[in-house]
Amino acid sequence: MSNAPFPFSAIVGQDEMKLSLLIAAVDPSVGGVLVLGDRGTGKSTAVRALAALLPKMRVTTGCRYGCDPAATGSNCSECAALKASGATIKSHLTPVPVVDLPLGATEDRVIGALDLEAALTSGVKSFEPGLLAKSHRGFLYIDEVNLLEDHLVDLLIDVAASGENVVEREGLSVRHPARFVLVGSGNPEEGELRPQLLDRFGLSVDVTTPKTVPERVAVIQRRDAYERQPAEFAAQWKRAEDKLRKQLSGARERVGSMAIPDAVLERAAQICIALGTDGLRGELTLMRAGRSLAALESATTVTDTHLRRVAPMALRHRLRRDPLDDAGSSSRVERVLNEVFGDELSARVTAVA
Amino acid sequence: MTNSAPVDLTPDQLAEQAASRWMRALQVIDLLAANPFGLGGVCIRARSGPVRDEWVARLKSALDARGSMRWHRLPLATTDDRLLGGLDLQATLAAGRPISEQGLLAQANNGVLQVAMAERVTSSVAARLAAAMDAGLVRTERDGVQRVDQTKWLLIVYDESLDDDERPPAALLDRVAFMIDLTLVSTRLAGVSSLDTALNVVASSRPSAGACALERSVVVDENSVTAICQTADAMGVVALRAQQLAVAVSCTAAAIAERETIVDEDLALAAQLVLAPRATRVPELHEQPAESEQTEADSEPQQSSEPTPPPPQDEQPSLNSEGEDPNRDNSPDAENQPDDSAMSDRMIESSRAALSANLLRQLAEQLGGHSAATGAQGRYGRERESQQRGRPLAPRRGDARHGGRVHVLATVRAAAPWQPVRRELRERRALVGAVLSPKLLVERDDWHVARRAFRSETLTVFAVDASGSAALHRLAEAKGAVELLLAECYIRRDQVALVSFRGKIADVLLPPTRSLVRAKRSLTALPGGGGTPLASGIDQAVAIAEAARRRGMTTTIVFLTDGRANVARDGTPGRPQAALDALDAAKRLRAGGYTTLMIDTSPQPQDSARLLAEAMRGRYLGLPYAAAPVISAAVRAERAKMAKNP
Repeated sequence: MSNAPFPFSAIVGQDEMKLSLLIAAVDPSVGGVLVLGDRGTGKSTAVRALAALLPKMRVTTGCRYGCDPAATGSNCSECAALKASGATIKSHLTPVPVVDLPLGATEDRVIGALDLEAALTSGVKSFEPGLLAKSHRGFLYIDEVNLLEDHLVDLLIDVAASGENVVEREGLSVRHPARFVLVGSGNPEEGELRPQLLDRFGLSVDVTTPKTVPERVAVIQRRDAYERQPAEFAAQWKRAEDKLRKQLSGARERVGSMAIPDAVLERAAQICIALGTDGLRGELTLMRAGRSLAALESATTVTDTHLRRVAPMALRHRLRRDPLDDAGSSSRVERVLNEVFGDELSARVTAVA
Repeated sequence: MTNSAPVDLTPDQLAEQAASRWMRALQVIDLLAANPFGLGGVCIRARSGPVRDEWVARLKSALDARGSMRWHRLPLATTDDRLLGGLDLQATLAAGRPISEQGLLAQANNGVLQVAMAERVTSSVAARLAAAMDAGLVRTERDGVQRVDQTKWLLIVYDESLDDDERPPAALLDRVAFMIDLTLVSTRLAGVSSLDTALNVVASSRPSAGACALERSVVVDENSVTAICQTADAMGVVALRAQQLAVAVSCTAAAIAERETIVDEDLALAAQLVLAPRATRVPELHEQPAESEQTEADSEPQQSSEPTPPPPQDEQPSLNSEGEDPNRDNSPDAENQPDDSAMSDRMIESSRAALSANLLRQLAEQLGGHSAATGAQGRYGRERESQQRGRPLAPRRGDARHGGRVHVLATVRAAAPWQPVRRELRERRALVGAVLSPKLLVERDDWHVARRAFRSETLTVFAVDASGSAALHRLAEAKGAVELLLAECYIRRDQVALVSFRGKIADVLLPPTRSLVRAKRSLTALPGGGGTPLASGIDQAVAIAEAARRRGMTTTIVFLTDGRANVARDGTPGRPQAALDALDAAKRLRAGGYTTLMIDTSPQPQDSARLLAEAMRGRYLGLPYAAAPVISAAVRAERAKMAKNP
């Protein structure tokens, strides 16, 4: 989009989706967000808005993969060599990348391939980084993720999990870091996602069209105001955006030192056992997400309340499918949470939400 | 709207409906001509024919009046390289540097994009169109080139579907403002040119080109937006885009009338053209808005038997609790509110006039089924995937060693740009004159294999004997077995259909669906008792299987019966004739060559069921006291066998 994107704070409602994106932005290791829901509920708007919200990041000047000059051991081979040589590293600030993976993208553009231009004009075989390289340290957004071809999905998931892209083709052998937060959105009516894929997303949220008339009116009015005068609209929301940005960068600093009491860890394990989620990924995500939420809210430690609030988005897509259970997975999670936490805390949390 | 030709209307009513449809179609032309790119476009439901041509010709001349536009057509089987663009191989080779080309989506910029036979467009093509419409951009990341093109167009979706089972992709319908139905309109009606002068409500003359410029200055006030949203709510339209488009349409209507504010008339028009075709329930007008005891009770207007009126806005007690608009309630212009509610009322009235006459009937059906939403999803999924069956996909890089087939064209395409480089390298390496250089240098990385979207859709038809004899013995157990099988089918994303036979006839309890909830519900509600019209049951199951085969599905039929037919095809009781008919039906089934499983539910294995299974050339399972899981395992084994040698 050429104009200023729609401000994140101006999105009406959809609190769970906004929260999940913020959590993933605070701690990328939470591992991606999957947004499923009705058409026209502002899924892609929210992701694009998030891009504008993120504080700028420092990158090594001249690095084609956007390496972090402060990082050690996780940079591309060129940066690592530069660092080892002891030379001073120049760096500059750039916006956090939010890369769109358009439908119909071919594999060579996603993972990178031989540079056609260089080959044709100067007869040189060189590597041209793809979208994965571009999204390093940022976000990779896939709209309609359920329509993406299977082999591309597998590839993305693999890279997202390992944080490294390995290209072996046409006599080239390149590996470069590609750590990004995968954000997928889709409409379940268009087709289902494979369970293996679902599990790879850290958080999953369901969005629905706002139910009440006043909310809908607000959505349409803000959209209209934005479309008529994007700049004025952005200016109007600048204060809210700045506040959120501050909160976000503060949380990013705090999250590393956030303590998780043993009792809360135990509680997380309890929930996962009660729900019968496979593997440890659920627990890990639950803890990381809880930590991010606590950091976002400037809390000193992670509490049961934090856990309770992030549990639905961290776990609802990890349940073993029970086709004969009429209730959706969201309500199953709710049920178990109410059991584990007791109704008192749950009631309090719902009141807060 | 389901059937476009309602059956229970008199000819006069039909003619009236046709006239009003045509009138609305002409209004759509005016609005589109005034604002071709701001309203998404239009979906026309009509078969290809003179009426549709006439409408399109009129739209074309109206659009041409403000500057000629190019018309593009999206072919049904468009591949990504045509749709999105990519590397222009010929130009690249000629120029010696990569040259990208635009796809159709980018070429259609500032023009009209027509999607013919839209009900057959796959959801992946629809998603590409939708993405381009939303962003106003076409992003191409293909074949080593990337480009971004601005694009905007007027989308015309030609919906030639016969019934609701096939509809254009929802992603497209969601983004066009108008949905018009010309199926009833006669050529005579469309040919009468005086109609449009008589019926042009919005525009006294063709809208001027200035109308579009004016549109930006039309003020969208909160009352108008609220009125639209309330009307949408009353009609059960949840899609936010529809409401947004309705607001845009009312703006355009105001601009055509050269007004800077939206008046009731504009809102009514928008509701009629945008919201009414999407209505899922009939809005109720509140007759006595001041009735006191109604205020608290009827906050939930969705009760099935008597839809209560949507509460007028000034009576809604929970409004300010949403926190969206705190100053609404204590704002000084409280006298605005009744006025607002009246506006909503008025709009509801006008769109009610536009609702199709058989909406009520559909609604009644929906309410009876209780799960309109899940049903629609199931249908949608099937349609999409059955279309994909055997459809060639873009070839993929890889070699043919794993049983794939080399895609020669794609391989050559991949190799082509590298020829000069490779030739040079080769010449440098090779001894001069040692080997004669081949015409085309293909390396391993060039190999492409052809792929097809071969998603073998499967359908399992359960034909359950619910007659008295079966009910006596083990209907409950049969139900349990079917439930288990349903769970299996669900995991594999198979479709299921359910036929039951009892009394005199066989019923399709559930047409093919993926909705497990529906299947389970209809199974639970299945009563037992009566005769055994086995022949009808077999016929019905075969009919479903045949229909499924035409859509490219593989079908398994599972019978749960004791095989003792006692009702003949024509519904008359009598064992001998019934048995003959059943055998006859079984032979027909065999001719179809479906995988069949006969599960004998009688207490002791019976010859009747065994003979029937033989006649069907199906597998017979005499499981007198099998528990449900055993039956389920049997079906699984049968399917596995079938998968091995299809």
